[in-house]
Amino acid sequence: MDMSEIINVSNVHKEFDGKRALDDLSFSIQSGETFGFLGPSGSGKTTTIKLLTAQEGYQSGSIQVFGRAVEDLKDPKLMRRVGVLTDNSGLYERLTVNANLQLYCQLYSVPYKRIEEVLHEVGLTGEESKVVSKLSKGMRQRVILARTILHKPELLFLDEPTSALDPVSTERIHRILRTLNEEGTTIFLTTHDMYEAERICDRVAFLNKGHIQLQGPPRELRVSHSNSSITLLLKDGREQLVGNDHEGAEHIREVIANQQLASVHSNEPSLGDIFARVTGKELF
Amino acid sequence: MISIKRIQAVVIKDYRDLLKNAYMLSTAVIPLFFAFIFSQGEGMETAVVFMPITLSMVMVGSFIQAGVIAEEKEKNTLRGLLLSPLNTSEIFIGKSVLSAVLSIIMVVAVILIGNIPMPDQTLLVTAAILISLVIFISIGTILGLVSRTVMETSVAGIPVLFIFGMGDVFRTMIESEWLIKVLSYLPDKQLGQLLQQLMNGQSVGEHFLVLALWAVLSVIVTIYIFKKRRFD
Ligand SMILES: Nc1ncnc2c1ncn2[C@@H]1O[C@H](COP(=O)(O)OP(=O)(O)OP(=O)(O)O)[C@@H](O)[C@H]1O
Ligand SMILES: [Mg+2]
Repeated sequence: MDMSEIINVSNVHKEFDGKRALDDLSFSIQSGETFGFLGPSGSGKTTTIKLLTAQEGYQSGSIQVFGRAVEDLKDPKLMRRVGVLTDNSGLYERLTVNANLQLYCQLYSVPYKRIEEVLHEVGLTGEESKVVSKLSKGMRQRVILARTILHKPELLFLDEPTSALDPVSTERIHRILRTLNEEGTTIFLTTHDMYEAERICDRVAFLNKGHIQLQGPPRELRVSHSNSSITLLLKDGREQLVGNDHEGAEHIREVIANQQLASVHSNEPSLGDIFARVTGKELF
Repeated sequence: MISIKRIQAVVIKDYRDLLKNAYMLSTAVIPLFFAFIFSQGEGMETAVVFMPITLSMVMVGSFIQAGVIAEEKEKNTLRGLLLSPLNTSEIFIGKSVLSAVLSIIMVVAVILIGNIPMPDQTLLVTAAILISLVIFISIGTILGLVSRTVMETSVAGIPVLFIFGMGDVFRTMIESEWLIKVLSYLPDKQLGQLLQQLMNGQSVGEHFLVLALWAVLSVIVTIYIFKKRRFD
């Protein structure tokens, strides 16, 4: 196995009471990557995280994390290298931010002075004595993220870390995740926000009905699925679609010469468009 | 292997949380009122004289325990504990210490406030109460595990309260011989009889045995339910 491969999933099948949730799932994640799992509701994103963190078993196939069978994660020594933010992680509402984090410092044998550091990382410096029930949703999510990275895990699992957050909070979390990744943390995240996937993921996989339909770096996917047409917006408000070829070039030259051109738009598809094309489904 | 440090972390968290939790705190003091009312009564029937003790074990040991367990599920914090270095035994012990200590304090308080006559064999009395505590805390844990919310525990807990906490009151109303016989094996009755017989200088081995069986059984059922349940 490649030394830098941190997760390897091959041919995994998972059923819940006879109902298929994951179907022949295969992918691998390299150390230092941010890998995004994109898929509509019910496609199996949360289930995948549960399998990868040994919270659920599976019927067939194999999963390796850190080059070991995933079941070994039940050993606290190995689990220490992992941080998990579940889709519904909660905090102790009546306690302060500090008390919430102190508990986890104790559980992970991390000194209390790490709290100040981690709160700085998530942009919550000075908020440690606030009671959690008084925090905004975005702040709360950042406290949960702080708790998740408190013990400096090498591998981070994030299940829809920004769903239902406002754009400012989302942007903040993206920045935190990018910093963590630059510092060497490998990140596996699920989302149904293609913009998010595009912004922070090195590689994405499209999950549909428990099966990966397509995977690759966002830019490559967009290039390989581009339909090579160009849209021209004219000064009189009209739009024109031209081909990415000799004829199109001639037309564009003409429009520019006549001083009619307002702007040019490449029709590179978004990840959402590609997803819809590949699966025949909208992302949400 | 069990880490005292991790257990302590959970206990401290629960303690801090309890201090801010009006619902739990008011539940904890209810037995004191009962004890006070009892102390005002004259010539108490011997059958119910120990009821405030079992009542406080049910209110604190079972109800508060059920509440703190259910709240970890309701607020989605249990998953975080399960994914941390805590193992199952540490979670169980950590989540039980606070209600155990609180129960012991309440039992002592109830005995003092209620002027409840107690046998002189302190060691045996303590042992009997501690074994009963294991039973009531296990029942509370089960209650917490099968309920989805704290609210549900107080509804699901009502039968538990009537059967185990105030069983003496109901037993006086029952006429059927065999039912009385069956109900006499419930832990609260066993504890009451044990205390009574200690006072009369009779042997109590059989009651200890029944209580111990209850304790072992309830712990096994608790662990079984815990392993079986999904938490989200
Ligand atoms: N514990 C369970 N028992 C039975 N079926 C389940 C269970 N968990 C998930 N499923 C089923 O497995 C499938 C995948 O669910 P999963 O939660 O992984 O989807 P998801 O991609 O995370 O969706 P969402 O975007 O809504 O979070 C769904 O059909 C779901 O109903
Ligand atoms: Mg999900």
